Amino acid sequence: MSARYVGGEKLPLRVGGCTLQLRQQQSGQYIWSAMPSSNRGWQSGWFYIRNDGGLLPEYTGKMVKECPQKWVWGAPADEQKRLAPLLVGLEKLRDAQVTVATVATTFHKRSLLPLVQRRAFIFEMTQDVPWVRTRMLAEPISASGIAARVEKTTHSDMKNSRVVPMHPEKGYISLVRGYFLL
Amino acid sequence: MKAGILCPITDARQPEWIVPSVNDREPNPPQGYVVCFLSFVDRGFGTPASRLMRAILHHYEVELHNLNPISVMQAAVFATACEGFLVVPPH
Repeated sequence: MSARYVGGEKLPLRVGGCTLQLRQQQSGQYIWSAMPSSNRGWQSGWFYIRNDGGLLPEYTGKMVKECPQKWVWGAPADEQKRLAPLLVGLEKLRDAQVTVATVATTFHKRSLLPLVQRRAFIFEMTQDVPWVRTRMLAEPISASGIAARVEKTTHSDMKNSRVVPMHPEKGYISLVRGYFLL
Repeated sequence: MKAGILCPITDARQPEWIVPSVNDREPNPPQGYVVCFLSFVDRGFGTPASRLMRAILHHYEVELHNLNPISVMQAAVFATACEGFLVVPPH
């Protein structure tokens, strides 16, 4: 959790104080991930969004002043053994040079909003899946538009990241057979 | 909306999004709305929110506006990496 300092006094932030970040010692197990060092001015573009079904926590105006105990690092111990096959998969993705920018490019190319409730998972999104509640943007983004969005939202070191198709597009990286179908 | 970030409004009585009043120097969302940022939508957030996003907020007991663009991007990439590359639901 971050905070702002006024005259040496630590004050809680009303917005943006909580950051999801990779555990430093474990970051080598994930795809190469670096975020922009600055997102200056992002707080100014705020608006109200409809809380469909009341699924999101209601707005209370409360400030988070301390890190609760549950913010400790890591998955619960009983969940960790389930991570093993996923870590093997991530290793293969790293070997195939998949980065955060690669992944961002693919979701923009598919006109997806990954954090919206969808009718189908991405790996189920074949051509016969109805468009409604699957893809979230009506118009495809241009190649230059995708490049601009990825550049803005990932670290500049990732500018030339490889573009790799996602499942089930032709050329996706198979993690099942032990080799890549590229 | 001009930038292609926000969807067109389809429900005039309960619009999908509302621009704050000029008098709202601090957030004061109407009942049934929460505070969001354009930079979140740009990075893959929208409503209805995915199970992963809801789980993050409820588990860590934070509200949407407590996150920042980097957190939203990390979550969006994680969800896509799980679904599109590892072929598993992002739980």
